[in-house]
Amino acid sequence: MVLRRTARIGFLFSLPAIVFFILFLLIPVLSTFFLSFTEWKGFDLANIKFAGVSNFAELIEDKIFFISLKNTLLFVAFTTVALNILGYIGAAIIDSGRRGTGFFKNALFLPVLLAPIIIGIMWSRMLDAFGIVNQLLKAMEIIKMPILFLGDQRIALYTVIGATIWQYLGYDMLLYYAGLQGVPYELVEAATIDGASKWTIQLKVIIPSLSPVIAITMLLNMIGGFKVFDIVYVMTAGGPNNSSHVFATYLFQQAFRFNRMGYASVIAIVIIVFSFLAAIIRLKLVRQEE
Amino acid sequence: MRHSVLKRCIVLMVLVLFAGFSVFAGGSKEEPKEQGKTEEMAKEEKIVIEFWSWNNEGSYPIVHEDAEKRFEADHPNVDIKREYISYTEYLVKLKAVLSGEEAPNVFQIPWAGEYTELARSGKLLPLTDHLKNGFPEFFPNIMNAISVDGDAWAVPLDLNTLQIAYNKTLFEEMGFGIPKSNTELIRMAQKLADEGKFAVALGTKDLWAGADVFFAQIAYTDPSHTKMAKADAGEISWNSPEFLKAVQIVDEYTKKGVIAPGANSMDAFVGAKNLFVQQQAAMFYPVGNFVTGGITADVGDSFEWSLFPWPPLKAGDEMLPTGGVAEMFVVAKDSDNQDVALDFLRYLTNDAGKEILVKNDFIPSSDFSGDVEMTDLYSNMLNAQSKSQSRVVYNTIVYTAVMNGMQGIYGQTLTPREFIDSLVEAAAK
Repeated sequence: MVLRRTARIGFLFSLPAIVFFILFLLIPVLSTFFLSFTEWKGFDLANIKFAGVSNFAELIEDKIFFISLKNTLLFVAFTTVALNILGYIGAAIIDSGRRGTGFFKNALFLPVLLAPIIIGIMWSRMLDAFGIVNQLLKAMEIIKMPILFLGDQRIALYTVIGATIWQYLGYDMLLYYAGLQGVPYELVEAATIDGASKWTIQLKVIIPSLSPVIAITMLLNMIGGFKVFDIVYVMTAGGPNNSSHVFATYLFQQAFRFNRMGYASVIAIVIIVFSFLAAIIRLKLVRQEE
Repeated sequence: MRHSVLKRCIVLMVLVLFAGFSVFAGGSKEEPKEQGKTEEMAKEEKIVIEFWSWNNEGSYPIVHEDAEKRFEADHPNVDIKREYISYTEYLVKLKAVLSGEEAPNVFQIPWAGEYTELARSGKLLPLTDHLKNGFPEFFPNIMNAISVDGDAWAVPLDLNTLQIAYNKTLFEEMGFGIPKSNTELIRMAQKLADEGKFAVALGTKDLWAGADVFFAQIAYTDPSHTKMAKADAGEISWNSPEFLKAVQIVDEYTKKGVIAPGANSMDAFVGAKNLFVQQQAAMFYPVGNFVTGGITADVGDSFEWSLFPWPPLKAGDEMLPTGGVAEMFVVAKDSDNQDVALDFLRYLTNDAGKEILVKNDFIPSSDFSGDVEMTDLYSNMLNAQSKSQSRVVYNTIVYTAVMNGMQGIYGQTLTPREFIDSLVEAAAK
């Protein structure tokens, strides 16, 4: 009796969150699934036509979708690996407490506070064919012709990846720095007494102690990578010649340029699936830790 | 004791939820329309006309503001509320407000791609009959451009032509005249390269400018000037020799250094324009009246400049620029005060409106007989307008394929044949 009453009270307390979840997550996700089986221009709700599985069939044949899939996976892989390795190195440097680390910490964290659109515009101008970077390289006689950082389809995506790493490095660094504060000093001391080298201590003591932080940081990077939009859109808009499209920029093009809400919903479902997989991996990692 | 605390909590939560739902319900409830107002009251009532545009660059705001002032002076109860939204967000916002039936009364509309979609969306007021009442007689080719499925849907404000800006001072120093054929332009580019200068600065990162180089060549490769419209309408294939020849010319221009390197990494009006203004490039494309003011301001007294169209295939043929409608506006079908909105558009396009357009180097979309002193540059553009050929592809998917494919041509990652195949594939969608 008491249990049932407690459950009822618990439910009532959860109700606002449940209502919020239904209105702003469940209904939009279900609507996306529904729209993926339709053709809709996005103007008039009365003009939604059932299209069966034709949008899904088209996706399988869509070359640009597969370019965006490959690019998204590359983006996730490169940013996750680089941000975690460089973030950890940065954290280890500021944790060493040497002179100048305070400045180093603030300098690396500063870009995190800027909007990705500002970062995108700034890097675009700097990496323009005749921007400051090319001018410097030319002045130093390293190049004769400008490097087309954003205009060459072989390197445009990697340029955007570089700008993203620059922006979020400080964020990962702070997460690792916070993690390092929780590493038991006794373990490090014991390893030092046992004659372990600095490298061995990092590898065998500190990094294993940080595994929960590593799991969370990697997951955050992966989810961020799967839904990246703004910086890619500003720096390349998916070009040149569709070569740097990621899921979100391609979805945006289909939905808001071509008015193909049904097809865009199919791409949205792919993003949901990838994010869901990342969440499952995270859950498994956390459970393993527990 | 514990029970009474719990009861209070429950009562409090229910009250909070109830209050929340009341606010939501109140917010979504439609306000009943006021009935039985006297005409006098309606006259006194302040009418707000929302007016959206993305063109807050150059002198367009002067033109908009002038029409607003004249209109508000004659209609004291009307307040024109102008809002500029950047082009990158414009269509997304517009589609959102259109589907939510919250569209502004008057709004700018793109001339290509989306225009047909929007005209067919059922959200715009058909204007064929309204344009016969108190509007100037717009040029026939412009009426064709704004007509979809037999109805006109927009009020064209002004027209533009796209030409190549050239550094007259540098041309004179190097002994160049205006190139009369594309082979002459290629020879000039080679001489400029010897002097360490680029030929034509072109920024295609924002896509559209790259497509316009292709359209400019079609003006020559298709002497009938009909094939592009037919291909756009699906009457003929994009796999026609005229289109292949046009892209082959652009490909040759790219390979032979007519186009300055790095086109795909520069914005049309930032990086590319700077190359021209800083005299690293002798020419700059695309230039229309919407950007001439900016170039003149940036160039200052450094050098003299003027305009010419892309040269024809052989010397002696007439030089043909491309062009079309620049700004055009529509009225939302579901909006209130449509008559007031239409009347405001009459003020934008009437004689006083045309005069302010001409004073700011814009080309009105109907005949202008006013007495305004014209600059040489303006006379050049006006002359070009009379010969201008289409630069419009209404099919958004094909237009996007043209823009993306041209990036492939400038980046030399796509052959002309592959470019044409991509258009055929896009048209099939």
